[in-house]
Amino acid sequence: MSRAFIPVVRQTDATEEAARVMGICNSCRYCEGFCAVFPAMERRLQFTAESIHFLANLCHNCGACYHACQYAPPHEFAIEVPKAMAAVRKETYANFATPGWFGRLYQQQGVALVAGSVLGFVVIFILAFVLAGKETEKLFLAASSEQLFYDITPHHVLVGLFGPVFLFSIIVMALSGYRYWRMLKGMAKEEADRIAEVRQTLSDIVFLRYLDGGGQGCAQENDQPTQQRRVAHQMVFFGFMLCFASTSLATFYHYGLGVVAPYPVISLPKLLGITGGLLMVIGCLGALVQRRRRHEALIDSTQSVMDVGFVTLLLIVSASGLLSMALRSTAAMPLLHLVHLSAVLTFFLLMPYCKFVHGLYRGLALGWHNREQRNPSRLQLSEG
Amino acid sequence: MIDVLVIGGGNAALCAALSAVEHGARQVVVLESASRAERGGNSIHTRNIRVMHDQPMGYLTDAYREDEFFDDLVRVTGGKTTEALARQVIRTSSECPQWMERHGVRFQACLGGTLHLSRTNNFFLGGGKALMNAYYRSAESLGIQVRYDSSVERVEIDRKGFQAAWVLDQAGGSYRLPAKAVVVASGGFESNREWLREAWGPAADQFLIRGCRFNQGVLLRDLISQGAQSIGDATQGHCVAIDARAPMYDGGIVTRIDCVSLGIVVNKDGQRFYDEGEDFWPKRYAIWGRLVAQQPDQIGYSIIDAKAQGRFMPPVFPGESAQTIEALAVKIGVSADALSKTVNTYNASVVAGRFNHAVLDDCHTEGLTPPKTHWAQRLDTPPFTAYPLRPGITFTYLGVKINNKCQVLFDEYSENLFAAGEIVAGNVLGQGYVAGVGMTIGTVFGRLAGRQAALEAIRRSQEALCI
Repeated sequence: MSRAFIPVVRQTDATEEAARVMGICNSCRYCEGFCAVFPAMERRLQFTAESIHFLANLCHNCGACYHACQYAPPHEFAIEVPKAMAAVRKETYANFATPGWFGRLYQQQGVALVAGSVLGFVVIFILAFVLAGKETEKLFLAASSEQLFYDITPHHVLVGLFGPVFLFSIIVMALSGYRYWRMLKGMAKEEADRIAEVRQTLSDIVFLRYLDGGGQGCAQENDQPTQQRRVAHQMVFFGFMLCFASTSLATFYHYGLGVVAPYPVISLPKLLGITGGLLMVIGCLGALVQRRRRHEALIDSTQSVMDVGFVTLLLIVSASGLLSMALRSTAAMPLLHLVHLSAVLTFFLLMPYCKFVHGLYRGLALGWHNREQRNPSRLQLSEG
Repeated sequence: MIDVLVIGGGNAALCAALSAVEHGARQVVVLESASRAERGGNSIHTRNIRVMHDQPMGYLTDAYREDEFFDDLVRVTGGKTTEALARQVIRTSSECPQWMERHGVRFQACLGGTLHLSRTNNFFLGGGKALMNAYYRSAESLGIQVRYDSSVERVEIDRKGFQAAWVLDQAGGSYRLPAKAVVVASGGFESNREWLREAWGPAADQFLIRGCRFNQGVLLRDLISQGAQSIGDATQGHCVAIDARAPMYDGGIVTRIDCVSLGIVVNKDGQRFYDEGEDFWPKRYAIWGRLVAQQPDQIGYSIIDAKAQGRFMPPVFPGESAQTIEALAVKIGVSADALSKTVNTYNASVVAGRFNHAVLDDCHTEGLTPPKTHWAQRLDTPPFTAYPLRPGITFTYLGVKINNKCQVLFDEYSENLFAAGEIVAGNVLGQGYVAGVGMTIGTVFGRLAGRQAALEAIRRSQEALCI
């Protein structure tokens, strides 16, 4: 693979500000017990744009360091680590998007959301009307028979539409991840211990280790740490995973076992889907409510549209899924079903160009961090 | 009426307020000069507390017993300490971590680069501001009233003791605030330039203040003028050589320059003036503030070569660098002839040895005055880098004398006037410093003063009922 394939991360106002902040933090180090950012910072004396794109994605924006900072405003050093890192993360998402010029979608956050949503909804609804042909009344009928489900959206059409979109998104995200990983590897040579690294990284993700401000929780409206945000995030995360498992299993039932949906309530795909959907709905609502109460220093207002839009999209996906199932024998079902499919298609389309990618880069950054931490620091700083 | 009034908003003040409530005081009010955003005094710049312990305790390894702690104190103060009070502080320090955790403070393993403190000092997770946030949250939940932007200009004392405090309000006026007992924990006078000048002469104009700008010593002066006994010398304090480009106030920890023992230090005439390699840097950094203060124009330059790069804690401001000593001299405004002569003489007197910064190695100079007794390596590998140094005052030791209940001593002790924190540091620290002991003094005396003030306030309430 040619070197040119790796995007060169440029110095920008955001990376320079983060490098300035890290330079001051590196002389202080009081926050090193909070998260991964500071131990990673301490292995460095110079903060290149690459190392800043690494550190920024290690930051989970828990806010502990902001409230503990003796140099936060009104101090003239004006240190705001969470904000500086959030600004760089936005650039990571844009820089590493594939294809490159789609990265602009992330910077024009509203445009991305609107374009994705319009495309997702229009495609599904047109499709449904076309398929219904002259029998558009079907779209407003109660689901009297199991057949209706597939009358308006036949399984092979759904697979034919969602499959390629999903595959495309997965491939471009894999390419983005590959390029980000190449950047991380380019920082310095570190001995790998893949099993140990991966195990540690999975544990960091599953427990969302670094959103707990060193064991006490994450700051919200003031310096009082709470676990609310961590709990909400993991509800969404695990809910999403359960829904994903449910869909994968259903696909296997369909093609592997020839058992066709809809499945009874007491069946594995349903149980996984219902549990996952409920977790997502509660988690998304929790996240949205908490976000409104967050201290303004912990919010990058230029990313509000994407942050709120992304969580809202997940909320619509999960809520419409649950509702179309709960109300399946009412006249609302076909419409809810279409809204759900539209939201899912929107989500698939947007995956590589929305806040969803935070998990990709953060997971890779954590992986690299866990590799680094298993290697001794190259610095030989004396005691001070 | 207020039971216990606490004047100050740093560690000792909050410890006093929390302890007062714990011991039965109902109405406790804290007066903090700073705003909510800048609260906490110098304590926000701290990072650990020195604690006695007979066995491993939390993150503290091994044991650090009373006698060893006391010996450390005697060594750094040259015996200028009040033994009874010092031992009281040391003994009670072992109870502190548990109490602190009850109020929400959390500890962490010693920070990177501070392994030498892992046995003796308990580090706060997130440092001193996180600690102060925890105390303020605990105070709020216990119903303690905190008034920000509230400086006290004087206290009213009569033969029965403390009567009231006069508090400056935002409008420029002042109001009278009576209380049954008071704890004065309003810090030293290090932010008061006039007073520093009185003590140090014009040299004080070049001093940088490592802590907050609120420690004007108003109550220290007020108490002394009303007959409180003073203790300590106004020129004594915690004084470090810090980066000359540091902000005037609140530079805190990041302004330190930790490469002194790796190179040489010259004054503005290009002359060396002290053994840079006398002992490990953590044991010597606190004398260099005074050393630089005694140099012309109170400035020094720590000079290293490329061999030292990356071997010390990164300074917050980049140094001046050049390929030759002469070019470096020009950049920092020191005579190139003088500096190159100093470096040449130094280089010529360096005796070859095995460099090891982790031990007192055998790299030293011979026939040089002043000598460099360890880690002496020739300055011969460009680029050469210089960091300018100025005296940085952390806090002053001149204070009011107290007894073992933290009661301020006038002709006799005052029954309801207590003091804690920097304003009484001089009772334990006559000179010198050992890392983390300021927080030990503040926490122990703060808690004690709060408790005694609560008991006195309750006694007075009961007395009033009997009448």
